[in-house]
Amino acid sequence: MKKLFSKKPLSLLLVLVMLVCAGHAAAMKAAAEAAEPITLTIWCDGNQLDAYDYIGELYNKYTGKNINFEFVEMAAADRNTKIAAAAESGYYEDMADLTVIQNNTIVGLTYNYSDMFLPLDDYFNPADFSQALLDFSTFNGVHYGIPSDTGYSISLYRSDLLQAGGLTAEDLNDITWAEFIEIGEKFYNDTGVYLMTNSASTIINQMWKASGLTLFDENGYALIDENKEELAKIIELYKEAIERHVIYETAGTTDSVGIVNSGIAAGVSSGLWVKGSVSGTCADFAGGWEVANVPSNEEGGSNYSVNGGSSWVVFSCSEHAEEAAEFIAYMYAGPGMTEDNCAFMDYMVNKRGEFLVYMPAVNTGFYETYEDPYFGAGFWDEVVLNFDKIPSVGMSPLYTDLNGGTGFAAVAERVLIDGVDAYQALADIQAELDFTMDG
Amino acid sequence: MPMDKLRHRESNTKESKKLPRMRLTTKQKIYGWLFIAPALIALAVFTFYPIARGLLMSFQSKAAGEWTLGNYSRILIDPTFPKTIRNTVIYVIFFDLCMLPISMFLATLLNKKGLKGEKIYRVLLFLPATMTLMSYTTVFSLMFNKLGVINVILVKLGILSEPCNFTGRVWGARLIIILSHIWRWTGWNMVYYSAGYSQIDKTLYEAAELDGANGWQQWRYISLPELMPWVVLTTIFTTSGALQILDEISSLTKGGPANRTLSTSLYIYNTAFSGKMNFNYASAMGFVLAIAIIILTIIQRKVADKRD
Repeated sequence: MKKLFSKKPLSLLLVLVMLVCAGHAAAMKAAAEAAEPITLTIWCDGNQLDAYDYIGELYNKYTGKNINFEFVEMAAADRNTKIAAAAESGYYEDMADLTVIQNNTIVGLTYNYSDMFLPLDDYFNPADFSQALLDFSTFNGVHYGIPSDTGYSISLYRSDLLQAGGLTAEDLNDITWAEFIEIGEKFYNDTGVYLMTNSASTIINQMWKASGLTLFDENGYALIDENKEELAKIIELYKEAIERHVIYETAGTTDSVGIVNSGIAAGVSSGLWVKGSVSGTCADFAGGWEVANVPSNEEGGSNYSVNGGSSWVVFSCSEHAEEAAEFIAYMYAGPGMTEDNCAFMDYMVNKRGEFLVYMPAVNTGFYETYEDPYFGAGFWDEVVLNFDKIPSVGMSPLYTDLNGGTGFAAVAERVLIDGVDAYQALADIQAELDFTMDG
Repeated sequence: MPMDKLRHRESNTKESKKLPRMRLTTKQKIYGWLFIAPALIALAVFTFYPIARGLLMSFQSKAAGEWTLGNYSRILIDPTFPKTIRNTVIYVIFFDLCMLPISMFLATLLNKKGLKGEKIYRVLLFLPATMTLMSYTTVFSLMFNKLGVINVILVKLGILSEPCNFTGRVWGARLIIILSHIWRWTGWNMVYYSAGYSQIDKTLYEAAELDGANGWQQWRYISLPELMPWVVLTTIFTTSGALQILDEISSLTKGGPANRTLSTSLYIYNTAFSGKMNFNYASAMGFVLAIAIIILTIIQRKVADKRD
């Protein structure tokens, strides 16, 4: 009896009991985890929450999975800052599993912090997307993003104003800037209405992005000097369009839509997303619009360009990176888009005004038959089928600079405001971009 | 009792009294430190550590993380940095020379004897300081766009022949930034001056009145000297704020046209968080800016000390 209750066997017994309990607890926890659905945390804009709830719902319905989606509202600028701060500090605790990022920003993020993002080459087929859109999130040949929507550039014109000058959008489709300026000047002289409006940065950016020039070398340095003849021509064309009353310069797209609404200019040129601003602002002109592509810089040049757009990325630090990648590839680059007779595409274009860019889905003909409640049936067919015609200009973190305040818009502003020679302004910007890249 | 002994006893009594008092002081000191410890820890973690980390980063190269002075020498050859300094100096001049006199003027009006509804005016003038940045910058954008109220008024009055694209013109864009900043912070500075006014002895004005001083003389020789500490304080705050101006510009003009409204702070932010994302160089520029602010603050305080 005394031996039975001696310290050694008692201790062994207790240890044994503890081990059994611990093992049981671990098994219980594993079972509970297996039964519990995975939660994917997604950062997005506040106005996207409803749409993304629907995407999650569709994904679970199509795949039979049981994934919880937690959509966290976060402004685009805050997302970018948070990603950069996490990458610099090495602290990943607060990161989401995936997010959608504007294309103009994702370039810098993938260049500087490619380790932050999961390579997605194994999850989707890049050939299903326009190369120009893929370029934004591709670094060293690795695809870190799946294009979500397009910033495809279009020109929207009010039919009544065009008709007053004897024009249709057909006359303005597939033409060069030189032709556009000729037509626009005559239009202004006849009607007193400008043919097009937007800010210098919007139009200039559309022009150089349509150029198809190789603007960056393999190390990311800008090739402005190498392309100065063509780029100076773009600046001169813009200057001419302003001086000959073809373009009415404004502060930006919101301002421009108001200008078209008030009849000062006949059309606004911007990203495809401008359709939302137009339908929201110009209620009186429902069904009274025509659409054309953007003018090309020269004969035989491209009439297609980008102005915005965004891509999905998955964070490599995510515990559920694989599930997140499968989810986004399924919905944005796979069967999720064509299941249930394009329910997803229908929802996104109706509720969000977003055109999705997965070419197999675009080629189903859904958009050709889509009845836009504001613009009318079949309005977008000519436009949305041409995502893959946007030329590539290469990619570098300097793309963001060229697209922003330091870029070609600044060159145009210096030429127009200060009377600086276009070649000099381009040489200055080359020096500034080299300085940035050298740092 | 001999005087020596008496003194000795007195000093002993003093020491014996001093001992528990010292202990009490030590105890109080410990409690004091304990009370401020949470704030100090937060300050160390969220302020001092990032400053120290930023300082170290400013001496490291982006590519390899090697120790270098390159980020500081780079500032000297940066073609954009001097432009941002020039823009920032313009903001400092306008904010200091326009906003502070307006604040003083409003505070003087509100402190006039017998003014009715003074509290309502005070609240209304302070209200802009409580607005969120996006709200008021959006309002200013709308006011100054081509169809905005400013263009409509200027065209109707015949001052402009056609609407002006303010954000596309150098001084137009600067004007929007300056006006929006002044609109927001004037009421804030006015509160400081009002606080200063409340501390001025009213009998000084009564005496001046008896001596026949008019309103201007009373303000010049009584109010202004008495408010000088507040003038120095608001000048320091305004200058420091102007040197750090970022969000208004980011929201209204993004630094355009042609970088003519780009402030040093926005340039630092862009350098760190867009394009090439060079945190190291941005840190170096940040420290140069911080040193400039410290030097200006010291100069302003020295000027104030001389007055004392």
